[in-house]
Amino acid sequence: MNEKIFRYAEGEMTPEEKAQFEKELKASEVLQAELGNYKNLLSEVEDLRFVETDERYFSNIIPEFRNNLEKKKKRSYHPALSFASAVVTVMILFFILPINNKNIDDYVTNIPDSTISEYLNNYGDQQLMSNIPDDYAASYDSIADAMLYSQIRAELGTEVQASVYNNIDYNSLVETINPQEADQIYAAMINKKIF
Amino acid sequence: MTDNKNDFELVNKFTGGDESAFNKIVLEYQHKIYWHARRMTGNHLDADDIVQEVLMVMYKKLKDFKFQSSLFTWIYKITSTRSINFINRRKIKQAFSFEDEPESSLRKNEDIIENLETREKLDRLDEMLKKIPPKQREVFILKNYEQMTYEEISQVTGKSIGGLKSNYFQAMKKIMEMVKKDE
Repeated sequence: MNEKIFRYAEGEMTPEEKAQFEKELKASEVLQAELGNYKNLLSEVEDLRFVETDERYFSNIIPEFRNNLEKKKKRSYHPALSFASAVVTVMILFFILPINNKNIDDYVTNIPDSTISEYLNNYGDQQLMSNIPDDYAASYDSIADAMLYSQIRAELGTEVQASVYNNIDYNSLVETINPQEADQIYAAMINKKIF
Repeated sequence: MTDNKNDFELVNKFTGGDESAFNKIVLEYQHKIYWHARRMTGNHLDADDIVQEVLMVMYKKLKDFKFQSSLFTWIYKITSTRSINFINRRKIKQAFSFEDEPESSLRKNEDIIENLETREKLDRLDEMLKKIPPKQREVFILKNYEQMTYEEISQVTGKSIGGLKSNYFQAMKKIMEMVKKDE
């Protein structure tokens, strides 16, 4: 696009420049066509400034906001829930490992998705906890820490990285992260992005 | 432009504990918030997410708002920032997504525009706007759809007027090239 077209159409030219350009415009069909296209584009945009919509959507904005606000207030009393769920996921995978210290990555890669889904869907926390061998219990926290830290580092900013590095507990950490970010970390973990 | 005196009274009422005042502020600005987010992101569902984010920010931060700018400008600033962040996050998610179909194409099918012809025109323009950088898109939208002056856009974006004019020229140039290719 010719810059003079832009400046002329936007009223950016001095009176002298404008007078000169208008002479050029009169003599050039190419310039006239380009100016015409520019004005057509602006006209198309103008037509789309006010668009009829289904107003029911707008009627629902405040109720949805109030609902989200309530959920957020309730959630703030259970700050560790999202991370507890992530830790349970790690524990489930420990449960289905054979007791011979096989490498986690190798083992998890070979587990069919259907098996993992079955365990995730069918095992409650109590049943799971009672089945975990005692000698594995101590490993869970450190591996869960490492996995969470890795994901948090990838997903969130330096402020939260610092919190994790300084071993602030999960309750404090979740207060820094909003629910959407916590959901994101959890979803990434159970999609085996870490594993 | 909205009545500043009315905004001032509503903000004071809300910070004084009147929740209905916040609802009135939302009713006043919800169309503008939605449409700015919609034009920035190019689809209804993304815009809906941003609307709710913006309202949450407003709810938390209105107590700190001291009318150093108009409420209108402040709200647009939040909406613009959230929209640009959303666009950037979407790009990263799409780059690393393992899903078969990008999320945005699934989300594109839901809309609140009832007239099909209007929707097609808007989609065509949205597709062109998606191809220009978010900052250029922002100036284009604020100037043409919101009819803001460069001074007003500068207050929203924090950019210099010279920079904005340059961004706007680049935006128009790219869109004109795309229009020419379509013909």
